[in-house]
Amino acid sequence: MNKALSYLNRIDIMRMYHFFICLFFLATAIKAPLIKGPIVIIALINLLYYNKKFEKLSVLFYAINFIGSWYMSYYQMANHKSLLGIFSFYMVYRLWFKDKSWNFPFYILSLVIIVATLQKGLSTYFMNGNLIGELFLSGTSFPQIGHLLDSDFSTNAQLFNDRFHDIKYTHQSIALNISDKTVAFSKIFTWFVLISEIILSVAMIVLPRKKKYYALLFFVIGTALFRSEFGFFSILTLISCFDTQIQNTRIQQLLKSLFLILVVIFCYINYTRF
Amino acid sequence: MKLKRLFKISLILMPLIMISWQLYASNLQNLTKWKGCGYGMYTDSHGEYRAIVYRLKNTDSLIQVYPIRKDDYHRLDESSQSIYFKAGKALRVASFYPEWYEKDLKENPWVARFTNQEGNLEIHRTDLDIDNKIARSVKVYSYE
Repeated sequence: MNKALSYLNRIDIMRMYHFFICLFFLATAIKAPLIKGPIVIIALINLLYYNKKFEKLSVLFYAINFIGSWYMSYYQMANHKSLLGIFSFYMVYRLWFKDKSWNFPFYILSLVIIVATLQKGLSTYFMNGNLIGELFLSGTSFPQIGHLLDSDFSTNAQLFNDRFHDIKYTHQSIALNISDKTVAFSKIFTWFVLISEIILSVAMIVLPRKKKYYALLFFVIGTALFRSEFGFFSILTLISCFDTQIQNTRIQQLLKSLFLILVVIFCYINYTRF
Repeated sequence: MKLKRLFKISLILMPLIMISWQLYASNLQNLTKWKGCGYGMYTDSHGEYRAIVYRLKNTDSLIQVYPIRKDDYHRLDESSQSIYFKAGKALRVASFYPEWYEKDLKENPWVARFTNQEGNLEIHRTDLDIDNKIARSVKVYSYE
Protein backbone atom coordinates (compact mmCIF):
# COMPACT_ATOMS: atom_id res chain seq x y z
CA MET A 1 0.00 0.00 0.00
CA ASN A 2 2.78 2.37 0.98
CA LYS A 3 4.61 1.55 -2.23
CA ALA A 4 1.51 2.38 -4.28
CA LEU A 5 1.01 5.67 -2.44
CA SER A 6 4.65 6.59 -2.82
CA TYR A 7 4.39 5.83 -6.58
CA LEU A 8 1.32 8.06 -6.81
CA ASN A 9 3.24 10.85 -5.08
CA ARG A 10 6.14 10.52 -7.48
CA ILE A 11 4.19 10.15 -10.72
CA ASP A 12 4.79 13.20 -12.85
CA ILE A 13 1.63 14.85 -14.13
CA MET A 14 3.13 15.34 -17.60
CA ARG A 15 3.74 11.59 -17.75
CA MET A 16 0.07 11.05 -16.90
CA TYR A 17 -0.92 13.27 -19.80
CA HIS A 18 1.36 11.43 -22.25
CA PHE A 19 0.12 8.12 -20.86
CA PHE A 20 -3.46 9.14 -21.60
CA ILE A 21 -2.65 10.37 -25.11
CA CYS A 22 -0.68 7.19 -25.82
CA LEU A 23 -3.38 4.80 -24.60
CA PHE A 24 -6.24 6.87 -26.03
CA PHE A 25 -4.87 6.81 -29.57
CA LEU A 26 -3.45 3.30 -29.30
CA ALA A 27 -6.90 1.92 -28.42
CA THR A 28 -8.31 3.01 -31.77
CA ALA A 29 -5.08 3.15 -33.82
CA ILE A 30 -6.30 0.36 -36.07
CA LYS A 31 -8.98 2.73 -37.47
CA ALA A 32 -6.49 5.29 -38.75
CA PRO A 33 -2.94 4.01 -38.20
CA LEU A 34 -1.28 6.68 -40.35
CA ILE A 35 -2.73 9.51 -38.28
CA LYS A 36 -2.84 7.92 -34.86
CA GLY A 37 0.37 5.87 -35.10
CA PRO A 38 2.77 8.85 -34.99
CA ILE A 39 0.93 10.29 -31.98
CA VAL A 40 1.23 6.98 -30.14
CA ILE A 41 4.95 6.81 -30.92
CA ILE A 42 5.56 10.42 -29.84
CA ALA A 43 3.64 9.90 -26.59
CA LEU A 44 5.56 6.69 -25.94
CA ILE A 45 8.90 8.43 -26.46
CA ASN A 46 7.83 11.11 -24.01
CA LEU A 47 6.85 8.43 -21.52
CA LEU A 48 10.20 6.69 -21.75
CA TYR A 49 12.63 9.59 -22.20
CA TYR A 50 12.43 13.14 -20.98
CA ASN A 51 13.55 15.93 -23.25
CA LYS A 52 12.12 19.37 -22.58
CA LYS A 53 12.29 20.61 -26.16
CA PHE A 54 10.83 17.39 -27.58
CA GLU A 55 8.02 17.50 -25.03
CA LYS A 56 7.13 21.07 -26.00
CA LEU A 57 7.02 20.13 -29.66
CA SER A 58 5.03 16.99 -28.89
CA VAL A 59 2.32 18.86 -27.02
CA LEU A 60 2.11 21.33 -29.89
CA PHE A 61 1.76 18.38 -32.27
CA TYR A 62 -1.09 16.93 -30.19
CA ALA A 63 -2.86 20.30 -30.24
CA ILE A 64 -2.43 20.69 -34.00
CA ASN A 65 -3.83 17.18 -34.41
CA PHE A 66 -6.91 18.23 -32.45
CA ILE A 67 -7.35 21.32 -34.66
CA GLY A 68 -7.25 18.95 -37.63
CA SER A 69 -9.86 16.71 -35.97
CA TRP A 70 -12.15 19.62 -35.23
CA TYR A 71 -11.90 20.74 -38.83
CA MET A 72 -11.99 17.36 -40.53
CA SER A 73 -14.42 15.46 -38.34
CA TYR A 74 -16.39 18.01 -36.35
CA TYR A 75 -19.58 16.22 -37.32
CA GLN A 76 -18.20 12.99 -35.85
CA MET A 77 -16.57 14.37 -32.75
CA ALA A 78 -17.60 13.18 -29.28
CA ASN A 79 -17.30 15.14 -26.05
CA HIS A 80 -14.19 13.49 -24.62
CA LYS A 81 -12.16 14.25 -27.74
CA SER A 82 -13.30 17.84 -27.79
CA LEU A 83 -12.42 18.37 -24.12
CA LEU A 84 -9.05 16.66 -24.61
CA GLY A 85 -8.43 19.11 -27.46
CA ILE A 86 -9.23 22.12 -25.28
CA PHE A 87 -6.99 20.70 -22.58
CA SER A 88 -4.15 20.14 -25.05
CA PHE A 89 -4.32 23.80 -26.02
CA TYR A 90 -4.12 24.71 -22.38
CA MET A 91 -1.03 22.48 -22.11
CA VAL A 92 0.60 24.25 -25.08
CA TYR A 93 0.02 27.52 -23.27
CA ARG A 94 1.50 26.17 -20.03
CA LEU A 95 4.59 24.68 -21.67
CA TRP A 96 5.35 27.25 -24.36
CA PHE A 97 4.67 30.37 -22.35
CA LYS A 98 5.99 28.91 -19.09
CA ASP A 99 2.94 30.10 -17.21
CA LYS A 100 2.80 27.69 -14.29
CA SER A 101 0.45 29.88 -12.26
CA TRP A 102 -2.48 30.04 -14.69
CA ASN A 103 -4.53 26.94 -13.96
CA PHE A 104 -7.19 25.48 -16.21
CA PRO A 105 -10.15 27.86 -16.25
CA PHE A 106 -12.92 25.99 -14.47
CA TYR A 107 -15.60 28.24 -15.92
CA ILE A 108 -14.94 26.65 -19.33
CA LEU A 109 -15.63 23.28 -17.77
CA SER A 110 -18.74 24.65 -16.15
CA LEU A 111 -19.94 26.03 -19.47
CA VAL A 112 -19.33 22.75 -21.30
CA ILE A 113 -21.23 20.79 -18.65
CA ILE A 114 -24.16 23.21 -18.32
CA VAL A 115 -24.73 23.33 -22.10
CA ALA A 116 -24.93 19.51 -22.17
CA THR A 117 -27.18 19.48 -19.09
CA LEU A 118 -29.59 22.07 -20.48
CA GLN A 119 -29.88 20.13 -23.73
CA LYS A 120 -30.65 17.00 -21.72
CA GLY A 121 -33.27 18.80 -19.63
CA LEU A 122 -34.99 20.12 -22.76
CA SER A 123 -34.99 16.76 -24.52
CA THR A 124 -38.14 14.62 -24.33
CA TYR A 125 -36.06 11.59 -25.27
CA PHE A 126 -33.78 12.03 -22.26
CA MET A 127 -36.53 12.99 -19.84
CA ASN A 128 -38.52 9.88 -20.80
CA GLY A 129 -35.79 7.89 -19.09
CA ASN A 130 -34.03 6.61 -22.19
CA LEU A 131 -30.58 7.28 -20.76
CA ILE A 132 -30.55 3.97 -18.95
CA GLY A 133 -31.42 2.22 -22.21
CA GLU A 134 -28.57 4.00 -23.96
CA LEU A 135 -26.25 2.87 -21.21
CA PHE A 136 -27.38 -0.74 -21.59
CA LEU A 137 -26.79 -0.47 -25.30
CA SER A 138 -23.42 1.21 -25.17
CA GLY A 139 -22.25 -1.79 -23.19
CA THR A 140 -19.88 0.50 -21.37
CA SER A 141 -21.75 1.21 -18.17
CA PHE A 142 -21.71 -0.68 -14.93
CA PRO A 143 -25.22 -0.10 -13.65
CA GLN A 144 -24.54 -1.86 -10.36
CA ILE A 145 -27.49 -0.24 -8.64
CA GLY A 146 -29.71 -2.17 -11.02
CA HIS A 147 -28.76 -5.44 -9.40
CA LEU A 148 -30.05 -4.17 -6.09
CA LEU A 149 -33.40 -3.29 -7.64
CA ASP A 150 -33.89 -6.21 -9.94
CA SER A 151 -32.32 -9.66 -9.69
CA ASP A 152 -32.72 -10.15 -13.46
CA PHE A 153 -31.14 -6.82 -14.26
CA SER A 154 -28.09 -8.30 -16.00
CA THR A 155 -30.08 -10.80 -18.04
CA ASN A 156 -32.57 -8.11 -19.02
CA ALA A 157 -29.79 -5.74 -20.04
CA GLN A 158 -28.17 -8.40 -22.21
CA LEU A 159 -31.48 -9.42 -23.81
CA PHE A 160 -32.34 -5.76 -24.35
CA ASN A 161 -28.99 -5.22 -26.03
CA ASP A 162 -29.26 -8.23 -28.36
CA ARG A 163 -32.83 -7.55 -29.45
CA PHE A 164 -32.31 -3.83 -29.89
CA HIS A 165 -29.31 -4.32 -32.16
CA ASP A 166 -31.32 -6.78 -34.25
CA ILE A 167 -33.88 -4.13 -35.19
CA LYS A 168 -31.53 -2.25 -37.48
CA TYR A 169 -31.26 -5.44 -39.57
CA THR A 170 -34.79 -6.83 -39.30
CA HIS A 171 -36.80 -3.56 -39.01
CA GLN A 172 -39.37 -5.33 -36.84
CA SER A 173 -40.65 -3.62 -33.69
CA ILE A 174 -40.02 -5.52 -30.48
CA ALA A 175 -41.34 -5.30 -26.96
CA LEU A 176 -38.51 -4.83 -24.51
CA ASN A 177 -38.29 -7.23 -21.63
CA ILE A 178 -37.59 -4.73 -18.88
CA SER A 179 -39.12 -4.84 -15.43
CA ASP A 180 -41.25 -1.98 -14.09
CA LYS A 181 -38.62 -1.45 -11.45
CA THR A 182 -36.00 -0.84 -14.13
CA VAL A 183 -38.25 1.71 -15.83
CA ALA A 184 -38.84 3.45 -12.49
CA PHE A 185 -35.12 3.37 -11.82
CA SER A 186 -34.40 4.95 -15.21
CA LYS A 187 -36.63 7.90 -14.25
CA ILE A 188 -34.84 8.39 -10.94
CA PHE A 189 -31.49 8.02 -12.66
CA THR A 190 -32.46 10.69 -15.22
CA TRP A 191 -33.03 13.23 -12.45
CA PHE A 192 -29.93 12.10 -10.58
CA VAL A 193 -27.78 12.81 -13.67
CA LEU A 194 -29.42 16.18 -14.31
CA ILE A 195 -29.18 17.39 -10.74
CA SER A 196 -25.60 16.19 -10.20
CA GLU A 197 -24.46 17.96 -13.39
CA ILE A 198 -26.21 21.20 -12.44
CA ILE A 199 -24.65 21.11 -8.97
CA LEU A 200 -21.21 20.44 -10.46
CA SER A 201 -21.39 23.26 -12.99
CA VAL A 202 -22.56 25.72 -10.31
CA ALA A 203 -19.87 24.44 -7.91
CA MET A 204 -17.20 25.07 -10.58
CA ILE A 205 -18.14 28.74 -10.52
CA VAL A 206 -19.09 29.57 -6.93
CA LEU A 207 -16.87 27.38 -4.75
CA PRO A 208 -13.40 28.45 -3.64
CA ARG A 209 -10.71 26.80 -5.77
CA LYS A 210 -9.75 24.05 -3.32
CA LYS A 211 -13.33 22.99 -2.75
CA LYS A 212 -13.83 22.60 -6.50
CA TYR A 213 -11.67 19.47 -6.37
CA TYR A 214 -13.90 17.98 -3.70
CA ALA A 215 -16.90 18.74 -5.92
CA LEU A 216 -15.20 17.08 -8.89
CA LEU A 217 -14.20 14.08 -6.80
CA PHE A 218 -17.71 13.61 -5.44
CA PHE A 219 -19.13 13.95 -8.93
CA VAL A 220 -16.76 11.50 -10.59
CA ILE A 221 -16.81 8.92 -7.78
CA GLY A 222 -20.57 9.31 -7.33
CA THR A 223 -21.60 9.04 -10.96
CA ALA A 224 -18.75 7.63 -13.08
CA LEU A 225 -19.44 4.00 -12.32
CA PHE A 226 -23.08 4.34 -13.34
CA ARG A 227 -22.47 6.19 -16.58
CA SER A 228 -20.46 5.49 -19.69
CA GLU A 229 -18.59 8.76 -20.11
CA PHE A 230 -15.28 7.47 -18.80
CA GLY A 231 -13.33 9.50 -21.35
CA PHE A 232 -14.95 12.73 -20.24
CA PHE A 233 -14.45 11.88 -16.57
CA SER A 234 -10.80 10.93 -17.16
CA ILE A 235 -10.12 14.38 -18.55
CA LEU A 236 -11.99 16.02 -15.69
CA THR A 237 -9.68 14.31 -13.22
CA LEU A 238 -6.63 14.99 -15.38
CA ILE A 239 -7.47 18.71 -15.35
CA SER A 240 -7.73 18.58 -11.57
CA CYS A 241 -4.42 16.77 -11.21
CA PHE A 242 -2.71 19.53 -13.17
CA ASP A 243 -3.79 22.28 -10.85
CA THR A 244 -0.86 23.81 -9.07
CA GLN A 245 -2.98 24.91 -6.16
CA ILE A 246 -3.75 21.43 -4.86
CA GLN A 247 -1.33 21.02 -2.02
CA ASN A 248 -3.22 18.27 -0.24
CA THR A 249 -1.33 15.01 -0.86
CA ARG A 250 -4.31 12.80 -0.12
CA ILE A 251 -6.50 14.63 -2.65
CA GLN A 252 -3.72 14.40 -5.24
CA GLN A 253 -3.33 10.68 -4.58
CA LEU A 254 -7.07 10.14 -4.90
CA LEU A 255 -7.28 12.12 -8.14
CA LYS A 256 -4.29 10.38 -9.64
CA SER A 257 -5.51 6.88 -8.79
CA LEU A 258 -9.00 7.72 -10.01
CA PHE A 259 -7.49 9.02 -13.24
CA LEU A 260 -5.45 5.87 -13.82
CA ILE A 261 -8.47 3.62 -13.19
CA LEU A 262 -10.76 5.63 -15.48
CA VAL A 263 -8.19 5.84 -18.28
CA VAL A 264 -7.59 2.10 -18.27
CA ILE A 265 -11.35 1.35 -18.30
CA PHE A 266 -12.01 3.93 -21.01
CA CYS A 267 -9.20 2.85 -23.31
CA TYR A 268 -10.02 -0.84 -22.87
CA ILE A 269 -13.66 -0.16 -23.79
CA ASN A 270 -12.56 1.89 -26.80
CA TYR A 271 -10.27 -0.95 -27.86
CA THR A 272 -13.02 -3.56 -27.63
CA ARG A 273 -15.51 -1.39 -29.51
CA PHE A 274 -13.34 -0.76 -32.55
CA MET B 1 3.69 38.82 -24.72
CA LYS B 2 1.13 39.64 -27.39
CA LEU B 3 1.13 36.04 -28.58
CA LYS B 4 0.72 34.80 -25.02
CA ARG B 5 -2.37 36.95 -24.54
CA LEU B 6 -3.77 35.98 -27.92
CA PHE B 7 -3.36 32.30 -27.06
CA LYS B 8 -5.03 32.75 -23.70
CA ILE B 9 -8.02 34.50 -25.31
CA SER B 10 -8.30 31.90 -28.06
CA LEU B 11 -8.40 29.13 -25.47
CA ILE B 12 -11.50 30.74 -24.00
CA LEU B 13 -13.04 31.62 -27.37
CA MET B 14 -12.60 28.16 -28.87
CA PRO B 15 -15.11 26.33 -26.65
CA LEU B 16 -17.54 29.22 -27.03
CA ILE B 17 -17.41 28.98 -30.82
CA MET B 18 -17.78 25.20 -30.75
CA ILE B 19 -20.72 25.33 -28.35
CA SER B 20 -22.49 28.01 -30.43
CA TRP B 21 -21.99 26.03 -33.63
CA GLN B 22 -23.15 22.79 -32.04
CA LEU B 23 -26.32 24.43 -30.71
CA TYR B 24 -27.01 25.99 -34.08
CA ALA B 25 -26.25 22.93 -36.20
CA SER B 26 -27.99 20.37 -33.99
CA ASN B 27 -31.15 22.44 -33.66
CA LEU B 28 -31.42 24.19 -37.02
CA GLN B 29 -29.48 21.84 -39.28
CA ASN B 30 -29.35 18.07 -39.16
CA LEU B 31 -26.22 17.56 -37.07
CA THR B 32 -26.73 14.48 -34.91
CA LYS B 33 -27.10 15.51 -31.28
CA TRP B 34 -24.36 13.11 -30.21
CA LYS B 35 -21.62 14.66 -32.31
CA GLY B 36 -20.23 18.12 -32.96
CA CYS B 37 -18.26 17.94 -29.69
CA GLY B 38 -20.97 15.87 -28.03
CA TYR B 39 -22.87 18.55 -26.16
CA GLY B 40 -26.16 16.83 -26.97
CA MET B 41 -25.28 13.29 -25.93
CA TYR B 42 -28.24 11.18 -24.79
CA THR B 43 -30.78 13.72 -26.02
CA ASP B 44 -31.65 11.61 -29.05
CA SER B 45 -31.03 8.00 -30.06
CA HIS B 46 -27.48 7.33 -31.15
CA GLY B 47 -26.52 7.57 -34.80
CA GLU B 48 -25.03 4.08 -34.63
CA TYR B 49 -28.54 2.65 -34.61
CA ARG B 50 -29.21 3.79 -38.15
CA ALA B 51 -29.54 1.70 -41.25
CA ILE B 52 -29.73 2.32 -44.97
CA VAL B 53 -32.37 0.24 -46.73
CA TYR B 54 -33.73 -0.05 -50.23
CA ARG B 55 -37.51 -0.22 -50.49
CA LEU B 56 -38.70 -1.93 -53.64
CA LYS B 57 -41.36 0.03 -55.51
CA ASN B 58 -45.00 -0.71 -54.56
CA THR B 59 -43.99 -3.30 -51.97
CA ASP B 60 -43.21 -3.43 -48.27
CA SER B 61 -39.99 -5.30 -48.95
CA LEU B 62 -36.90 -3.72 -47.48
CA ILE B 63 -33.47 -4.76 -48.68
CA GLN B 64 -30.72 -4.10 -46.17
CA VAL B 65 -27.95 -1.99 -47.68
CA TYR B 66 -26.00 -0.93 -44.60
CA PRO B 67 -24.97 -2.23 -42.14
CA ILE B 68 -24.95 -5.91 -42.94
CA ARG B 69 -24.51 -8.66 -40.36
CA LYS B 70 -21.07 -10.18 -39.89
CA ASP B 71 -22.31 -13.56 -41.14
CA ASP B 72 -23.70 -11.99 -44.31
CA TYR B 73 -20.44 -10.12 -44.81
CA HIS B 74 -18.43 -13.33 -44.58
CA ARG B 75 -20.73 -14.99 -47.11
CA LEU B 76 -19.82 -12.33 -49.71
CA ASP B 77 -17.09 -13.05 -52.23
CA GLU B 78 -13.76 -11.33 -51.78
CA SER B 79 -14.36 -8.46 -54.22
CA SER B 80 -17.79 -7.70 -52.70
CA GLN B 81 -16.26 -7.70 -49.23
CA SER B 82 -13.68 -5.23 -50.42
CA ILE B 83 -16.32 -2.93 -51.98
CA TYR B 84 -18.41 -3.03 -48.80
CA PHE B 85 -15.40 -2.42 -46.56
CA LYS B 86 -14.26 0.58 -48.61
CA ALA B 87 -17.79 2.00 -48.70
CA GLY B 88 -18.26 1.63 -44.93
CA LYS B 89 -17.18 5.07 -43.79
CA ALA B 90 -19.13 6.94 -46.48
CA LEU B 91 -22.27 4.91 -45.75
CA ARG B 92 -21.99 5.54 -42.01
CA VAL B 93 -21.67 9.29 -42.50
CA ALA B 94 -24.47 9.29 -45.07
CA SER B 95 -26.79 7.54 -42.62
CA PHE B 96 -26.03 10.29 -40.09
CA TYR B 97 -26.46 13.15 -42.53
CA PRO B 98 -28.65 11.90 -45.39
CA GLU B 99 -29.32 15.34 -46.91
CA TRP B 100 -25.67 16.31 -47.14
CA TYR B 101 -24.39 13.06 -48.58
CA GLU B 102 -27.11 12.26 -51.13
CA LYS B 103 -24.73 12.39 -54.10
CA ASP B 104 -22.05 10.31 -52.33
CA LEU B 105 -24.63 7.75 -51.34
CA LYS B 106 -26.20 7.41 -54.76
CA GLU B 107 -22.82 7.13 -56.47
CA ASN B 108 -21.46 4.68 -53.94
CA PRO B 109 -20.46 1.41 -55.69
CA TRP B 110 -21.94 -0.71 -52.89
CA VAL B 111 -25.30 1.12 -53.04
CA ALA B 112 -25.31 0.89 -56.84
CA ARG B 113 -25.63 -2.88 -56.49
CA PHE B 114 -29.12 -2.44 -55.05
CA THR B 115 -30.48 0.40 -57.12
CA ASN B 116 -30.76 -1.49 -60.40
CA GLN B 117 -34.33 -2.43 -59.39
CA GLU B 118 -37.02 0.24 -59.14
CA GLY B 119 -37.36 1.59 -55.62
CA ASN B 120 -36.27 4.08 -53.01
CA LEU B 121 -33.30 4.50 -50.73
CA GLU B 122 -34.34 5.15 -47.13
CA ILE B 123 -32.61 5.87 -43.85
CA HIS B 124 -34.09 4.10 -40.83
CA ARG B 125 -33.36 4.68 -37.17
CA THR B 126 -34.00 2.37 -34.23
CA ASP B 127 -36.00 4.31 -31.68
CA LEU B 128 -35.95 3.46 -28.03
CA ASP B 129 -38.94 4.04 -25.77
CA ILE B 130 -38.19 2.76 -22.30
CA ASP B 131 -41.41 4.24 -20.95
CA ASN B 132 -43.55 2.07 -23.23
CA LYS B 133 -41.00 -0.78 -23.25
CA ILE B 134 -40.75 -0.89 -27.01
CA ALA B 135 -38.10 -0.46 -29.67
CA ARG B 136 -39.00 0.20 -33.28
CA SER B 137 -37.49 0.97 -36.64
CA VAL B 138 -38.54 4.41 -37.88
CA LYS B 139 -38.00 5.88 -41.32
CA VAL B 140 -36.17 9.19 -40.88
CA TYR B 141 -35.35 10.05 -44.47
CA SER B 142 -36.33 8.97 -47.94
CA TYR B 143 -34.70 9.86 -51.27
CA GLU B 144 -37.95 10.14 -53.18
